[in-house]
Amino acid sequence: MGAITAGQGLILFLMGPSAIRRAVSRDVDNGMMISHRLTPMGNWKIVMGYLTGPIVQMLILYSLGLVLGLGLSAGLAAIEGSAIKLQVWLAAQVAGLCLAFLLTTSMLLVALATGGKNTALTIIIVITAIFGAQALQYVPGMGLLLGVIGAINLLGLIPGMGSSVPGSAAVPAIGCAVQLVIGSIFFAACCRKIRRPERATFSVGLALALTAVTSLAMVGGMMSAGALTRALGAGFEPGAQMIWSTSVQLLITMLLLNAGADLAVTMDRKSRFGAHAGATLWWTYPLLAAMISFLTYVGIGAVMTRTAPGALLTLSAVTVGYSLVCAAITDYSLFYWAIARGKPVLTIGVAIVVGLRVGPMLLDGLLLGMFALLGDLSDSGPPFMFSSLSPIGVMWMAGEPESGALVVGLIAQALIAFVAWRIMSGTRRAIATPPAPAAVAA
Amino acid sequence: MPETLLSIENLRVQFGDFVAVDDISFSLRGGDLLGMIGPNGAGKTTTLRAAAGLQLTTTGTISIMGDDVFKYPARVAEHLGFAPDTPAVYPNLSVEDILRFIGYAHGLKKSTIEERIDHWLDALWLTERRKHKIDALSRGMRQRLAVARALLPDPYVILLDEPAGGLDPAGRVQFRQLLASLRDQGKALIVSSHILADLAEYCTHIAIIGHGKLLKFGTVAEVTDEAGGADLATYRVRLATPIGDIQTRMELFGPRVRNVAIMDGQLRFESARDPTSAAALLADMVRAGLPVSSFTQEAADLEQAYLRVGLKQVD
Repeated sequence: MGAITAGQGLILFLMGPSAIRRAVSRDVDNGMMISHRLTPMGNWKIVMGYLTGPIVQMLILYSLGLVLGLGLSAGLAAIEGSAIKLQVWLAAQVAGLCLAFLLTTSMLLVALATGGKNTALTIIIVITAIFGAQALQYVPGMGLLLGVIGAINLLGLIPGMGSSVPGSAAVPAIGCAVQLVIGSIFFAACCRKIRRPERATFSVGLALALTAVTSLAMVGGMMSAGALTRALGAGFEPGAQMIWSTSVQLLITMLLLNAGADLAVTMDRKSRFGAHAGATLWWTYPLLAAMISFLTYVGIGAVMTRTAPGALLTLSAVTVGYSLVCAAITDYSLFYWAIARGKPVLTIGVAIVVGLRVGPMLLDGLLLGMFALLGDLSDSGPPFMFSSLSPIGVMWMAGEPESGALVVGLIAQALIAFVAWRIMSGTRRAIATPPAPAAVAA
Repeated sequence: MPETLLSIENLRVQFGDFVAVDDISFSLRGGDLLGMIGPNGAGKTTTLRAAAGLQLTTTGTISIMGDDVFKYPARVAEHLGFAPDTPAVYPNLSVEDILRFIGYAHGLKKSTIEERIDHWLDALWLTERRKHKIDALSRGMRQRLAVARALLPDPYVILLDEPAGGLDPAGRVQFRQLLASLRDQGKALIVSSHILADLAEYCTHIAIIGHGKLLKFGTVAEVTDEAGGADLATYRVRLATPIGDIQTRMELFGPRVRNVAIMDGQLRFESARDPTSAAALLADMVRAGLPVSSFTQEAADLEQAYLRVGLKQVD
């Protein structure tokens, strides 16, 4: 039965998503994507076509495995006089299908957003979905987002293989429900993207729904963190989990900022011709994104006061909130600039993550290693020189609130946000000014 | 059926800072066939893509059969046929299979699909190739297949981007007849092409686009007449016997005659457009002893109209 499950996992989590990506890439290249958009089919029908068409044969194989497994587990249950094996088998199938739905919809969305060309992103998604459960010790909410039961752990559900999933049935059920909800959001985004390839991957509404659900999942995951991480045999560090969870949420809210910037650019462009008043409420998007990240941070903190009071961080929530607002303004402004100037948004997003969110801490890690090699670390210098430039670093600096680097970092964050805002303002002015006829002709 | 089949109002399309289409407006009724001409990068393809709902617009509204193409794309697709300059096909499918696939995607019945496949393959001279794989077709055949794909759902509004690009001379003649037939069936068509002589023959309207702007729009007669100038027309005079100093003799008519030249053994010059003046000039020429055997006013052609708007390159 383990072999059957492994085969099904291979179909659902590896071959299926990969075939969908290839189908999108092929249709973009041969123009059939445009042909589909010129048919009177509803958007959801086209999306369903992509989700099932390229993997019809694989789905038949999966179904055969399902029938075979059902027969085997039913037979074993009859011999042993217990229906547990059959129930566990069915539970594994349901969990696998929920995860597969999330995985295939996210894969299709990424393929539609990149023309099926971003293989690296595809590999990251598949690996995250399969081994995502291993991240539970850092981000308990990932259990709800990518499966309490990651693909590898599915095997643990099979009789005789030893379950690594906690005994409570409620947590996996909630996990499956969250996956279905997020998969549905991705499905809706695919439906939108299929006829609007030029627009942002998510609309503001869908991005807001996604960030709200992930935020709840982060907090909910933290509530069951103890049981989950112990089940995986990993260390339990609530402080680190709080920071990692908020950091992941911070990255997810970039989708909301991108959607808001895309909408604002559209409105500002229309305003140039008097067709719209322009994006007068643009500031609501960064504030909303920062608020969702902040609520995640505070929500997890509230859970921690109940589950692990000794592990509470000492850094002021106001400081973290300030840092999140700066980050949101910076990200939003850079997205706005990129969209308005026709720059590659995905590249800008990766540059923001690497350069402004994760990079500073990596730099500190590098310095830390160098200081450690050179000699006595405690006398050589502070470990958080650059980390304070990132809200993630600011959260990590909770243990050293007196650090001068923190103050400098917070000021620098405001300056970075100010510069980004100025760039955006300049772009907005350029958009709002009608070009001279000569410029148009050129 | 609404009177206006396609309506484009204040269409603007921007790519980053580049304005690809700038404030284009026009509408087409049933039986209108619009020829769209302009140099490379003028905005023709972007306009067609926007009209088909495939290109995000900055401002403006586009409606087909009264439905906004962006609000109701599925409904609009029932009445729209669009053939892009690069045909969209699955190269591994046969000609008839891709058309069958398109027919099912449009929700047509099996019998209707087979009937229409037969009809359009015949009309576009692809019957012999119906079982052939698409990747074995020449560029011209693929172009015809793209047109068949656009026409299969029997749309009211047809947009063809460079449809005659890969056709041989005989194919062009048949294609002209096909477009004229569609026009006469009361459909609204837009054809982007660089074969200006063909356009003049079958189009009812002409749009000259340059730098994203609609520089000229009107019926073929309006556009070409305007190109010819409001007051002046070009005349061709055939002489029964050659006269050596004809250029000098023409100077006798003073400012009534301009830009005199000998072309293909005929006298060619510009003079007043109105018939009375032309008749008076002809009488004076005969009185002056010139052996005039024919005297005709040249119709200003599309090429002249195109050159008059100052666009140098035709794609």
